[in-house]
Amino acid sequence: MITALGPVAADLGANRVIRGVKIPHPCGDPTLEPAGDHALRIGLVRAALGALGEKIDKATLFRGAS
Amino acid sequence: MSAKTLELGTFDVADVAFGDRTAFAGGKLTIARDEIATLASSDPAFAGVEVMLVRPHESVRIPQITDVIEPRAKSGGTGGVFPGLLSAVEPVGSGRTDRLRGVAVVTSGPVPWLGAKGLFVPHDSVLDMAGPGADLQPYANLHLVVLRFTFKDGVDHEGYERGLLLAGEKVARALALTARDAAPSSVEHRDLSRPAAALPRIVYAYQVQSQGVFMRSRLYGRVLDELQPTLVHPNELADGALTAGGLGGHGVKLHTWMHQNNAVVEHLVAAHGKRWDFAGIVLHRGHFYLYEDKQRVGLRIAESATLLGANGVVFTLGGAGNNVTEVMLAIQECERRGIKTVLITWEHAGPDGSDYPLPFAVPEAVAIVSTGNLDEPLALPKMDRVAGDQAIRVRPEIGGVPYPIDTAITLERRTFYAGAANPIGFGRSGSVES
Repeated sequence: MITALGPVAADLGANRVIRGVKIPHPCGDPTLEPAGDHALRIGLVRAALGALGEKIDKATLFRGAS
Repeated sequence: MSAKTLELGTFDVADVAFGDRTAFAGGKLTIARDEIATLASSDPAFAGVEVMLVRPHESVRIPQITDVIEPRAKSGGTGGVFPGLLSAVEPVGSGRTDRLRGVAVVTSGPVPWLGAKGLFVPHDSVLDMAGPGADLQPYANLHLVVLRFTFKDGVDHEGYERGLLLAGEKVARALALTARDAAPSSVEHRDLSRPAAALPRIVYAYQVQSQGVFMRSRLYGRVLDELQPTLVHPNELADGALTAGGLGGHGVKLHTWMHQNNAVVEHLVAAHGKRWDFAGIVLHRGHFYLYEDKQRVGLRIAESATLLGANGVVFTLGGAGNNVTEVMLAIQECERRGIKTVLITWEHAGPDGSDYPLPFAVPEAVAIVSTGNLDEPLALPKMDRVAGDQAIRVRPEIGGVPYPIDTAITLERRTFYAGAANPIGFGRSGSVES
């Protein structure tokens, strides 16, 4: 799950939680130029796909957008 | 240093009627309809205004409410009511304030949507003065002076919001000024001087919603969209330093009347020096968009409570949704520091009340009082009269659909009912464990 409220998602039972941007726009940043926003979104999706390949034994927060 | 002391003079209003001149005598408030209409509609946002009177528990449905305001005016001390808006930015909360009890000013009307989407649509609402809806909000016992505005084209939402805010406050102050030469029903002295006996020291962490146009609160006229937790004296609330200004989230909305008469503040003040030592209010805002911002709010509340020497903190919510996170993080930090906490909250418990009631919680939150379920359907009978449009507008995402209200209605959720699950405990709703 990609979300700006990682600890909330983990608390509610999401296994792999990717840190998103902000509550109204977790998967992008409208303040960025289109190219920067695109790079950010690609990075988030890659982080999410990477997290799917990680072995975990409890709800885990992964770094996505910073 | 002398403590801030306020004499709050209450003038009970038993009757309200239209007449030749606006005056208060013998418990009767007379309103010159044209005079109040001229005062209310002077802002360029308005095409006109209709002034209507609604009696306590009358079978009336009031639609499209922006705000509810108790008439108050200063008759001594520095500053004026609604500082930063109607009055200069000067200290308020000391000297003398006069208030008319038993009457409130309601601003209403169909604010143009102007194609707005999402949160920032001036949503329509209803409020019933009789039937089951009357038990859910604090206004059914009052005489209401309803100002129903129509709006000029060519004004943006900022302009409509500001016009509505100031109009309600101007009329409220003008009505309170009529009591200047009358004898008050009671005068109460309010201060927070430290009691001689050792009593539990209590802080009130008061959350308000402020998220952009029509979802805002203001302190001394300043929009609180970026508010970091700040200390406020309860006497400042009595003088209207904190005001509402929104048209969203009606079910959980805090009107200016609720800030002026906040039930938590009233109880904390009433038993100050007897049952507890009320240390003051930490005003704060939820709905921050980053988790770290929510953590910062929680930390600042706990740090303020620590500096005030609190033994306990009472929390209430402003709005609904992710704003619970800030409050829960503050509760966690307070409890870790040995400061006891209690939360008063609505529930998002689903139509039958069986869902998990809060979007976020911490194990330290062990004392919670429910003010009722936001998601429970609400069946409202037909009222004899609608004080405004016979239909409200719903579904802004598809441009608006008229929803007739001149008949019996069932609201699937309580979002459109003003004050239906207000988070500071007004109204006769709540819930029990089963």
